[in-house]
Order: sequence, then C-alpha cells, then structure tokens
Amino acid sequence: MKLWQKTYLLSTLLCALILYGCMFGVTAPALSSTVNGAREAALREERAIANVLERTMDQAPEGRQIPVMQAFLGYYSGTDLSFQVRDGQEDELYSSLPFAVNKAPGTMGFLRDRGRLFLFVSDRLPSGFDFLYLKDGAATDALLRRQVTAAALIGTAVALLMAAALYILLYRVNLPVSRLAHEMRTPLTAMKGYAETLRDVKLTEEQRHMAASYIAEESTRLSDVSARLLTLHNAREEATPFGPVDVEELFDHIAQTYPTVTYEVHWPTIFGDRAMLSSLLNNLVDNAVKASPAGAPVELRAAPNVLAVMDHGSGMSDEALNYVNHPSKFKKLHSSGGLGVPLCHQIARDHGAKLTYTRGTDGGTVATVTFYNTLTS
Amino acid sequence: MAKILIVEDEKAINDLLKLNLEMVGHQCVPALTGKEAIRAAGEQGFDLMLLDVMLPDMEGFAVMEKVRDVPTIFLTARGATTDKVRGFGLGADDYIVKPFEVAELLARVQAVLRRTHRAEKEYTIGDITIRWDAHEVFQNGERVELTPQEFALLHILIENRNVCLSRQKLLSEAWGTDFLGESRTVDVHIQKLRRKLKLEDHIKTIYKNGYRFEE
Repeated sequence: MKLWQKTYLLSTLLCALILYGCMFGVTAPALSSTVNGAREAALREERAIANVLERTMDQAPEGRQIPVMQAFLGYYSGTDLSFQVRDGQEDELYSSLPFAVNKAPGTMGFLRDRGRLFLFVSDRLPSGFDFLYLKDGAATDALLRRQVTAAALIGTAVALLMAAALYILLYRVNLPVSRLAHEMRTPLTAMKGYAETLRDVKLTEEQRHMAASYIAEESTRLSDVSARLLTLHNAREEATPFGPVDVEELFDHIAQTYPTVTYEVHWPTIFGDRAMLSSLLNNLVDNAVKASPAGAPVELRAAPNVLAVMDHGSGMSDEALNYVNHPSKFKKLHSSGGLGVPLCHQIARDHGAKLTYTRGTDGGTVATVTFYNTLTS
Repeated sequence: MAKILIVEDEKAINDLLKLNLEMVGHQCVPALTGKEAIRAAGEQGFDLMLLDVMLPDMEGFAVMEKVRDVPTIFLTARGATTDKVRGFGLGADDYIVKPFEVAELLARVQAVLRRTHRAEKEYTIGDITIRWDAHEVFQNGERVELTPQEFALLHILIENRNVCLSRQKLLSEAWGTDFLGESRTVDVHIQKLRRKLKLEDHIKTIYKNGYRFEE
C-alpha cells in the first residue's frame, strides 16, 4: 500500500470516528426527549383516568362501586390501554392486562414482553385501591427505532461521502507526482546505462558519440520533468502571485527559442502569472513546432481575451483532438506527451481561461486559450 | 553468440541494450512495439527475448503469450511485484529491474542462455580454443592445464568481452560471493592466465577500474 493510501485510510478512520461521535451526541438528547415525552404523557393520562375513576366510584350507589368501576374500565377494552385494580388485601378486583404485572404503587417505567414495549404507571388511589395503568408503547418504540435508524443512515451516508471526497482529493494530489516519478525512470536508466558503458566498454568513436549524445539528450528530458514538477508545485500550492504580464515580451521570448515562430499582439497585457503563462505557451508552441513540417511557420496571436497558437502541420486525428481537449477523460495516446496537456489545461483554469484545440482552415491545429474572467487590465 | 530480440519502446534504452549485448558478441534485433516484436519472432528464431512490460501498443505480457518457445527476460520498474509474479506465471526466465547495471544485465542474459542451453559451447581466439562444457582449453591443438579458478576467471572475462570488470566483480563471479579474498588474488590469477595462454594482448588492465578481455 502506498503512503498516501495509508494516510487516507487513517484519516478516514479518524474522521468516521469523530463523525459517529458527533452523531451520537446529537441523537442521544433526541432519544431521551422521546422517552421522557412518552413517560410524561403516560403519567398525565393515568392521572386523568384515575381522577375520573375515583369520582365515578364516589358517585356510585353504596355497594355498587366495584361493578361501576369494572364497567368504567371496560370502556377502554380494544384501545392500547389496559388496567388492573386490586384492593388493600391484594385481591384482584379488575384486570384487562395481557400478562401478569407486579409493580409496587408509586412506580412507573418501561417493560418488555415478547419483544413489545409497554409503559406502566402503578398508583394508589385515595380510596385505597391499587391502580395499575399499562400502555402499549408500539408507537414510541417505532419512533425510537426510526430515530436510531435515521441517525445511523445519515452517519453512514456522510461518512461515505466524506471518504469518497477525501479519496478523490488525495488521488488527484498524488497521482501526477507518481506519474512524473515514473517518467524520470527512463532517462535515469538510460543515463546510468550509457555512463557505465562509457566507463567499462571498449567503444568505437562513433559509439562513444552516440552514448554521450544520449546522456545529454536524456538529461534535457530530466530537466524538463523537473521544470514540470516545479510548475505543478506552484499550481498545487496556488502560490502564484498574479500581476500584469507583457504579452509582447512573452511572445518575443518564445520566438527567440523557436525560430519558426511569428507573432502578432493586439492585447498588450494579461493579468496572470508570467512563469506559468510562459510554461503554457512554451508547451503549446513546442507541440505545434513538433507537429509542423521542418521550417514551416508557427503563428502566435494575442487578441483581446484570446491567445492562439496555430500550426500548418498535418493536423490531429479525431481521437487525438478528443484527448487534448479532455485529457482527464481519455486515455493518453503516446507516452511522449507526458503531463504536458493536462498541465496546460490546469494553468489555463488557474487563469480563469479555457484551452481548446480545433482544426485550422488549412488542416493544421489551432490551440486557443480563451480568458473568461475579466482578470485583464 | 546468441540471437536476441530486444523489445523496448524507449529508443535510448533499446540502443543501450543493443550496444552492450553486441559488444559481448551477441546478435541483436531491436523492436520498438509489441506488434513489431511479434512479427520479428514470427519471421526468425531467437535464443532470447528482452521484453519491456510497458509498451505503447500492448502489454509486454501479451507479447509473451504470442511469442512462445523463446526464453524471456522481462524489464520492469522497481517495486512492481505484481509484474514479477505475473511474468513468472507466464513462464518468464528472469527479470531485470530498471534502472539496471550493465554488468548485471549481461550476467543475467548469460545465466538464462546457459540454463536454456543456448550459450556458446566453444570459443576460439587466435590459436586458443576453449570448450566450455568440458572445461578444456587447447592451444595449437594441445591441451593447457588450468586450475578451476583460472578457468572460471577466463570464462567470466570472455563472457563479458569488451566490458571492463572490476576486481570486486571478478572475485564475486569467479570465486563466489562468500569468498573473502583480496583483490590481489585476482591480480595474481590474471598474471598466471596471461602467462599460460599468452593472452597479454587480450586481457587488458584498465586503470583504476579492473580488467577487460579484448578480442
């Protein structure tokens, strides 16, 4: 497992723990308020029924109190309430309980029977009877279950979302570096091998020249990778101080490196990072020069909000155009392209611009950088 | 001398392999893509194939499946353990990790050639003929007695002809890695070899580096 993947797993685990801790902190008061609410409601209801029962029994003719009490409580059969009344000698006078309950008077609470939740209130009436109130807690039970399930689901969903976002982030940050590291391996292998060959092997003059040329060539490639790493670092840290950039000077610098480049400037200043813009244009021009027949001109143009690089080469296939326009969606076509194209897109994005490749009128390729944000002077 | 197919898309590395293998007397055919390699293997026989795992048009393993009966050493990036497992599963004979040392590459190539009985059986230079299998050396048709150590030293020098080998390398290859000898031991044996076979013009001392057998 790679280091960044380990870091990812560890941080995800920590985040998930913290997240579940928070979810518990939020859910626990809600659950306890549900339980307390149910207890208070039951107590109020029990008091009300007990009061009415007491009064009804008081008003009943002498000797008829027990049958009146039984008739009154009988009204509740078929509801979620059931009762039990005992006299002072613990003799049962009435019971509609679904199962036997023995609770001391003055207590209340929850009890479970065959998986079902019940709320009981045990009370002593002023007339001396022990009154037990039992309420079916299915509704409360269901509510509690719903709350716990909702909390668990939300917690899991947030944890998954967070894990995915973190993975994508870390993957994006770490991938280009590993790719660049991989790109460094070939020049390193070649340079080491040719240096050893020069040292150990009896070579002809021609072979020595070839070996030395390869070392020089591959070291250029290595410095290219190093330059790209530096640009990538700047792009990643967003440590790029933006300022006015003189387009004419920028183009002139490129024209000095590539003798076939001609340029026109109708947009004198861009607001951006000179080093990054220079790297972007260098990349585009380099690709254009490589795509052109030897000595064919490559044109650079700056019009308001647009920079364009045009070549008169044989143009790109549809497949290649697709890749250079959407480098993240399509597989890379050649190993030589390296990180160039994705990096160009990144620099364009950082400047509030968009890079598009199109086919020119004469079949060549046009790379256009269009600036949408008015970061211009 | 063996005929070797080099399949590597990076021209710099392909040329590097070719240069070194040709120096020690092998004949090399370079291929920059998998398709090229399969075509070449279809047209002519090879004693060995050096195969890069990452090719632009297809995976090296796919080439290996198509090209049968050619001993294969594959080239892989450091740390790609799954590559190694997969390569050996397909019947690869060895692997070399990039970036590699030239001396190590040559040693591994020789080892595979010997193991698959495709190494040269006999070597002749001037009036000297050496039969590797029989451990016999003849000069002008007459047998020359060499100690096992001298023979091993001669063998490693000729296998890596035109390549300079350090004293340390010669010690570990001819005496074995466990041997706690001094580099002086190598010098003494080289002197004996030169005297016995009159190879003064062929076994060259390379200043500050070691010895090289030159044809």
